[in-house]
Amino acid sequence: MVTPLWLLGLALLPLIRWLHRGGRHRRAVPVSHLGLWRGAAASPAGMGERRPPDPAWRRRALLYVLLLLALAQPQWPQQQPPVTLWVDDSLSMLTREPEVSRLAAGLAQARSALAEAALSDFELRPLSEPWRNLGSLTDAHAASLVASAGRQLPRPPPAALLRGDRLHWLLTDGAHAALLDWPAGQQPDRVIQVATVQRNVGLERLSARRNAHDPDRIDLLLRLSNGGASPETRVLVWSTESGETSRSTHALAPGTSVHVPASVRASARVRAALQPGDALAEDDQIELELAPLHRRRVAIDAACPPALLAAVATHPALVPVATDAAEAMAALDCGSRERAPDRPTIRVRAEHLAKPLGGPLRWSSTLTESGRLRLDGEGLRRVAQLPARPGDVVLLAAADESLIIQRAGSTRLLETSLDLGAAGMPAGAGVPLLVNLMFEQLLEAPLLDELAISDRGPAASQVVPVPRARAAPAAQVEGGLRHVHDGARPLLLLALLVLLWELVALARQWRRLGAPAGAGAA
Amino acid sequence: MNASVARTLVALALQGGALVALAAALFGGLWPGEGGAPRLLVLVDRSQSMPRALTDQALAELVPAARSAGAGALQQIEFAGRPGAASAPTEETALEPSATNIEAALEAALAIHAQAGLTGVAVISDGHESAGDAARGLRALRQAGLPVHWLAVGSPPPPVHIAEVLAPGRARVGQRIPISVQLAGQLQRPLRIRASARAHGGESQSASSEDLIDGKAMVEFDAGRSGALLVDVVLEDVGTGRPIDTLVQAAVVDVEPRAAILYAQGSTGTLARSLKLGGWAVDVIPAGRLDAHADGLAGLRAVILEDVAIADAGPRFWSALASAVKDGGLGLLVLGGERSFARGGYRHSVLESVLPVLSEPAALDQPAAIVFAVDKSGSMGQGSGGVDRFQLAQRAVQETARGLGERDALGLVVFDVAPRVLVPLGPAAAGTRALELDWRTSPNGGTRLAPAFDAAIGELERSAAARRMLVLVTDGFVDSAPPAELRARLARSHIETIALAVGPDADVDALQHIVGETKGQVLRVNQAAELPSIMRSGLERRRSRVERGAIAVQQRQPLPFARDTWKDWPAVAAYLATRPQTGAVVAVQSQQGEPLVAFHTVGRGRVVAVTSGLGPWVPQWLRWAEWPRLAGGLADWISGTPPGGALAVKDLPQALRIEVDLPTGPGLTDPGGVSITVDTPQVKGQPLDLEVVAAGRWRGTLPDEGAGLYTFVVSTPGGAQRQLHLRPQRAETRRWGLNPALEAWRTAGLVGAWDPGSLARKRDVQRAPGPPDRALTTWALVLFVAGVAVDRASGLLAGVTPTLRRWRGWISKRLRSDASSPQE
Repeated sequence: MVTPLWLLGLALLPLIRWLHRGGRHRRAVPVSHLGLWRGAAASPAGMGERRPPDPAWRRRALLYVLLLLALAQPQWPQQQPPVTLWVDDSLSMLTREPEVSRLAAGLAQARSALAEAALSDFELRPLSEPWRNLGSLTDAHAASLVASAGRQLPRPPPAALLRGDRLHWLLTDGAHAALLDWPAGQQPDRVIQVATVQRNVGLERLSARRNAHDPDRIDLLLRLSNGGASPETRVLVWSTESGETSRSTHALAPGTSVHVPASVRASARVRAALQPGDALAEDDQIELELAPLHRRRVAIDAACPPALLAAVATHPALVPVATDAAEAMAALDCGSRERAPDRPTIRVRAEHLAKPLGGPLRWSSTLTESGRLRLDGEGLRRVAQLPARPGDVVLLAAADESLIIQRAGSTRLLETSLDLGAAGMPAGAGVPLLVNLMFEQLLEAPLLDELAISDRGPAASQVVPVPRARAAPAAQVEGGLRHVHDGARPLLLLALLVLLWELVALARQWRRLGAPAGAGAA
Repeated sequence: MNASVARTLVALALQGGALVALAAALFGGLWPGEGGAPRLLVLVDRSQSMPRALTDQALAELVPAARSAGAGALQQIEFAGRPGAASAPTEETALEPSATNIEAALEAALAIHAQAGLTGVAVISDGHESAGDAARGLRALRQAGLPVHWLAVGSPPPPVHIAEVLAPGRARVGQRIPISVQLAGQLQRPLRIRASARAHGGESQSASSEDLIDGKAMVEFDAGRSGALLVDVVLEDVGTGRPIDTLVQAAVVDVEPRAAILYAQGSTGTLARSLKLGGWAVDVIPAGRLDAHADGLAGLRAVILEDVAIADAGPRFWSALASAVKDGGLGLLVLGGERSFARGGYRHSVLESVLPVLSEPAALDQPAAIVFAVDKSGSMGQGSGGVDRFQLAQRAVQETARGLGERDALGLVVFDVAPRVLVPLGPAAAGTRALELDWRTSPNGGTRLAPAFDAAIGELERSAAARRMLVLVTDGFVDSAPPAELRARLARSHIETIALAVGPDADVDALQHIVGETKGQVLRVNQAAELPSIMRSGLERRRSRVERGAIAVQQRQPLPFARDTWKDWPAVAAYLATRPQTGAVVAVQSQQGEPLVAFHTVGRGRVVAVTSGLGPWVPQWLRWAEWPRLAGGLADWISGTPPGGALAVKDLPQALRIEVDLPTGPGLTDPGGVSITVDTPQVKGQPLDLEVVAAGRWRGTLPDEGAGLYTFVVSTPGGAQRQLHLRPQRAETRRWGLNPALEAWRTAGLVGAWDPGSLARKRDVQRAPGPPDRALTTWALVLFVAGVAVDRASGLLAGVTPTLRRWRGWISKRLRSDASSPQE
């Protein structure tokens, strides 16, 4: 009982009987002469006998009791407690076993188990999106799970969803131990495990970066793993839009990984594939878009000093284009043209003769220590006054002069007073590094260090169940009090039936009481 | 229609109503009111960045708006660094108001949603977070289908505050460090900037300025000692001295030593001059001043020790040096000479633990016969703390004997006026065991040296060992022994003598006269307690071997900085005999096969030992054509080549991401070649796991250990590099306005603006299946009972009326009796 206080209302049951003490409703029957009723027996009351209560009181008492019991909300152990089915939708669940994927086979098994249990309350939640309740295990939901498997990394269920009044089933292949590490040491009530295939080699991560010496080449690094239980040999084939570029053969012991480097000419995308394929075809190939590594177009003001133009031209991530080029992502302005209002711009100011800096370089705290250049300032000159306005961020200063300022505004504008074209600039990489620093700030992207990565996550190729999964206990419904059934509903259903009976009885009573009068009137 | 019929009809209607209510309850209906109303959870940010009044006002406006939109139960959770209890006031301090963790609050909302379905969550916050990942929490809410209404409330900026602090990234010891502080806001009133700088060792300095030009103030500090210098800045009102704004750890300056190489000289050599001429920044100091640099090793790239003895510096320096080499990647070059390696006391020292050679005497191929002659005269009975000189001499002999080799021989003679051979000269192992037994003698009598020498020499002359050594311990006067005669006899028998003169009364000059200058040595023992260590080290140094002569040189391996081997190495005049450590590479060796130039990597540091030194023992090397390459190459290699300044540290909400680029080409994937250690604000020397993520790119993630200074040391095959990183304070009191990320969250559809109307549209949409609505059931009960009562009203009246009549009669009777009583 959730609220047993309602049962105190049972104390009023005698009142109901008392209300019915006068017997049945007496019907008024108009007659023409009492003599017609001479043979009728005297009423018990008239004879000094107590009349029995109206039998309707039993029905009404029953209804009253039923309603009170329902309001007290009785509960009792449930035969089929509600179930949440947690579905491991990691990539390995797409392994063919051998006709259909582990996920599809597991969902079919789960469906059979659910049908056997005849559950009415059921939740379906993928481990990659645990807060998303798909509801029932329909064909559409199963297809949706299979289609989206491997796209996001699954996690163990959150503690808040591991409610004690539900059974928690886990559909998994047991290949990833982390998914069995549930909060507070909880364990699935039932594990539906589908994993017989023991062989797989997969491509786990492909990364690309520009070659440090040749910006037209891309250095690639591929992580290749044997997630199966037996030694494997695969041929790795690299290809770009222009076709196959190279191939190599790799032998891997079980549970080991190798990194395979490669280098290709700049392309829109690169693809690696393993031959021959295996039961988990989804990790036998990997494709990487190289767009993040493409050079960004910068509109160049021809009035800029040659050293500055050369620094942009030789920057591996920038391509100089004409000032009026529409596709330019940023602009370098040396004062000869009006600035395009919606284009991020670096403005190089030159207003007076070059003057040496009055002190060491000082950096803004908005630049991390590792993001600052190791310049000592010797040889640097400034050729303009660069006062800071409210909201501006001074990125670099020396003495009391600002050298690089990020102006406040909706479109990014960096201004510098450094003499970037002076012959006295420090030898080496001073100007190119300053140019890179300013463009990185302007475009809010790491230009020299950019990476493009397609990562399936660690152990994505693992298909062999970990020992812990094998040892997971079978379904055991815990103590009888954990899963309870709401008892109010059947009581209310019963009450509804009794109430219908009451209504019928009342209707008959009304008819009984009213019909003679009607007949008399007629 | 008579009354019964009417009552029955009314009862019928009431029971019909009960039936409807019951059916509604049974089939999931809800009584209008809170039971079926949308359930809204309000998360109220109570962190210090939130303006209390504006937050309360927003809450005061939200609640009636939600109610008027039909919201039922309105739950509220206050949060800051952690969430409080639902709909219960929580102590503000328990919420950790100095932090904001929106994700934790959203997780609390999800937990409530999991128990009793919510219709929506309203968040009153500025969106600034100092812990957790709000975006991740918002994505979870979206998965749960729980809309988030965001009521953006932020603090207005203060009237005046510190906008920016600019500081140099690096400075050298001795330089001035200028710091500029930019203010923003209303600058009309007199303001003062007070800044303080804390060095690694705890020293601090402060500076202040009231000169504001365009809202900018400048202060300066001295770079007194190498290491990180952390700068705090306070903005004060000049009139009241009250702080207006404070920026703790506003900047960090890496103060570097004047020179990258510290060069300690025990004797004058040539390398220091060559390096200076070659353009190296070398700080040359006498060996005796090494202790002053024990705390300044972190900023150095290398240390060169030229003919330096262990005694030149204290244990603290040697420990700091070994730690800096192994853990900090400091390079070390040790050059031999008369005072170095075994002669400098390196054996079993902390320094030796990082060297590529062991300073062991070449005892294996040159066994020695050693006789200990210990004075047991009465004066040796002096002592303190219950331990006399004789006992200490006994312990010294025992400890020294334990260090002898298997092929050595030892004997023991004790003497006063007459000698007594306690242990005849024999194998060292047996002798050592005999020495451990009771000597069965005690100090008494006078001292006569000549008989003792006779007995000891006699013992030694019986030995055929390559070296014969006499270790004499005495604290007395030299008697009438003829020094010249004794010295001649020692010389004839090729006996080397080490005399330990204990205490202030020992006749050192006379002893020196007897043992001679070349074949003997007198060691003064001022404190008797030092006797064991002085005897042991003295014997080891004496036994150490300096090979002298025109010694041919062979190169076995390329030097670490060269690809090939060099030919025509000039001969060396002398070197100290050593043997290589396990794993060390002997690049150059003597014709006897003993190391001349050996190197290895220990921990993160690179260490080279040149047993011949680069000074007087290698006169031809200094004139050799390869000398510049050799000297420069050694200095370059131990200094290491920085890995290109490509260490990048990025602050993530709950971690720091470290990436390092290596110029070693795309094929390098062996993690053994690269390592990073981190000094965090909490833990020193924490190793960081690295993973190769792209060609030449390594990545590691360090869990957040709070704001403050993080020092990274990257060790690569190319050398070691140090990088400072200041994880900024996320002080709640210095956050104003709204987090710009809010706009991104809106654009991504993670949050929406506060829309009470949406609550009305959500009514009943997401009610979780539960027990039948109790309100409807209650109504069914009430209607049913009312129907029964109406139906049985005649019976009710019939029952009540006689009673009422009885009462009325009784009252009337009482009234009548009261009225008649006065008349009676």
